[in-house]
Amino acid sequence: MNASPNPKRLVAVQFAVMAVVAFLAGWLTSRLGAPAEIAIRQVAAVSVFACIICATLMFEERRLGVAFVGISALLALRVISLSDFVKSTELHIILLLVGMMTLVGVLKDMGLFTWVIQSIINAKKMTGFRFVAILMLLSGIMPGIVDEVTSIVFVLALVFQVCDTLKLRPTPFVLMSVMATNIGSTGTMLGNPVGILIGTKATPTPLSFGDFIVHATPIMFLALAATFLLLMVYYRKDIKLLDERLAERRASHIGLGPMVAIPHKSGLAILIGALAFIAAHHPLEEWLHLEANTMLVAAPLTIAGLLMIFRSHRARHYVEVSVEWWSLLFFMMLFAVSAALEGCGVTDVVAEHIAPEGAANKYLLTPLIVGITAVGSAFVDNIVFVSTFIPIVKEIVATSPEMQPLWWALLFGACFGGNITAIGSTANLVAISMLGKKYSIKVAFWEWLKVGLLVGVVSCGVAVGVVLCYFR
Amino acid sequence: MNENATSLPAPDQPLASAAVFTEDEVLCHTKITDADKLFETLVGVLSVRDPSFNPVTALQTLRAREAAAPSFLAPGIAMPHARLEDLDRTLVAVATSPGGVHFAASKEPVRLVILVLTPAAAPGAYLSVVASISRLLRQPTFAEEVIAEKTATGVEALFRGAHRDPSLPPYVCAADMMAPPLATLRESNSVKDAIDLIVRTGFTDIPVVDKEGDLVGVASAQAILGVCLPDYLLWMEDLSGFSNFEPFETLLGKESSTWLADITDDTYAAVTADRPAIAVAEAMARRKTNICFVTEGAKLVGVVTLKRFLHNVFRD
Repeated sequence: MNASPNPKRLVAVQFAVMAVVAFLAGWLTSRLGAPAEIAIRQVAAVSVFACIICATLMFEERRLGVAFVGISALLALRVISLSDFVKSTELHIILLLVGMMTLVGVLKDMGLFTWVIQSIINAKKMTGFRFVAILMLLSGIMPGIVDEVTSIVFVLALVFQVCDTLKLRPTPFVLMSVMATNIGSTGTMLGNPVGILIGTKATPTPLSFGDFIVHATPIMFLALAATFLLLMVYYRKDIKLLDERLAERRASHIGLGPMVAIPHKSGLAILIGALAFIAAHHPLEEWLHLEANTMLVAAPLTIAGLLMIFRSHRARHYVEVSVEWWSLLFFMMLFAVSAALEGCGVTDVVAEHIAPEGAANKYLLTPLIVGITAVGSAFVDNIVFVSTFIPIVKEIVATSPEMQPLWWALLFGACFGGNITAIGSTANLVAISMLGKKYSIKVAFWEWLKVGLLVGVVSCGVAVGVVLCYFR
Repeated sequence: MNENATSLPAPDQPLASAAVFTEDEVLCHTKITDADKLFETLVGVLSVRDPSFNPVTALQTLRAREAAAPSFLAPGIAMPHARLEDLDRTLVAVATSPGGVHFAASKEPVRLVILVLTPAAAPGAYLSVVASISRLLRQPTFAEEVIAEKTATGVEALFRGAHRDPSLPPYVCAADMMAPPLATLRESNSVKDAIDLIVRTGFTDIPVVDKEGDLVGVASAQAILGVCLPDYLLWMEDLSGFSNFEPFETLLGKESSTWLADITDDTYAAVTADRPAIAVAEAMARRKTNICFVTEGAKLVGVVTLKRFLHNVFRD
């Protein structure tokens, strides 16, 4: 008997589930008691949002299609006007990401990442402990410089090289890298689209790159250190084996890969220059009397533009291949749906339920926001949750200004929660896909959940504790 | 090593074909000395048993096949064959000639001829006959006994005798298709040994065995290339900066002291010898490789290359 389900039937069932969930969400929304004209818009917006969540959960490859159809429905039903739709797609965030992705494409071409990997694998006196420490530190820092997806692709190349050469089981080291990547993605504003979204949307004033360095980076490092200690214990057997194999190689004076002179200096100079330019966005904006975060968008675009001018033979490649258009288009649709939810008052209602006016308590709300977004992000793309929660947090902060640290709670909950399950973040999905392609290894849902839940609880605990203590 | 099991016939299931020939298709102690004449006679005999095929086409196909690749199973034993589109079952005729029949491709006279006609669309049919006859010929005296036998009934009886079932096996096994492994490496060898062997033999995938002869992996030319040019080096737009094989220098300097384990891949295509030959194709297709190793237990007993497989299935 063939046990595998009929693919067509499976898709039909998934669409049926999506329709039922959308209907139930819409029906519940209709019970909110809004006037008929608003209620219709609220039902439509919530139903479309439910469809997008279902599509993200059940069929990744169809989620953009579902988002396109959903937005079209919202436009046709006048839930959102065409001009509001265009405004709400957050083109500045998209262009910032396009600029960064182009920069990463150039740096990859120029051999900067190759040089970093080669330097690590040929490091003298490498031990198991040192390798894991370097791996997790690199995984934690890299997403803050380049995005989390680029970072994980780059770090896993290092993991695969070491595991292939030393004949080690790659899964523990892949999981360590991914978990450090998700944590590290909170370190700077560029680490995760969620950071850019929160930074540009935060109230009463948007957060700058510098704000992230001052407030988010230390918390990220604390959570990373806690996770490192936890994983050192959890994967102690694999690390011990790595240590033994490395010792054998050291005794034979054999490296883990070829050693060649990589021309890395230009790439490194470009990266440092780009980061300095981006980090200086806030003083530049003040000096030029520009709107907040104007230079945050202009800086990567300027750098990407200059690089494309100087490397014109590869310019088309950078734009067409290095830029993740699939994800960016999905983000645009999602931002518009969130704007529709906000526009028809759904998020106000949710905010009022979470924190009734005058009753906001940060000792209650901080763990609540971290908890809700962490659990939500464990199953749905974190940007879906964050874009929905932004209007809610905005509403809470508007009524209780002392609740401003909730922006950080939102950031850490959404990113750290991504570690809980294998589908919790884009980096997880990329890592699983790379592991499957290279080794035909599948990471069981429970295998990930066991360690992911531990890491999620510990890192979220650190975040809640520090946010509550630090922002008194 | 995981291969999906292909369902085998149950032990009590009748074999796919009944006896492949009767005494009517045996030409005992023939006086014919010319191979072409003998083909005509044997095809004539088979056309009496099954008039559905065109004897002229059969002869043309036989001659063309024989000219392209003579089919000697052993010295003095030939197994000419043809695949015919208008045939729907396997036909076999046997001729013995103590004096010998002259085949152009053989200096030695051929004393036992087993002519096989199979349906064109049944690639396994001819291989089944070859497998069946080969098993009989492995018995040291069998061929001589058949050649010495003076009657057709006696020849048929020899084939049909105890433990000498002339029926076709239910399927062609991996063992029927494999060739002995001509080159192997030991776990204790170095990368230098592997490179030497690859360069000397021209084989691109060499099985690696342990002290007991158990298969533990494969050392491939691609793996050596991968050691010198790992994925992360290929990220760079172009490697034209390395004009003097710089990425190969590290390995060149250490090839004698680099363990074979560095390039040994433990994910390879392998099947056990008793598995149907289709499992060989399945293993190669799943692993996207051109070679499948055949084992008995864990012991390496043979190899089937994709080239050999395609030749056996499509051209034999």
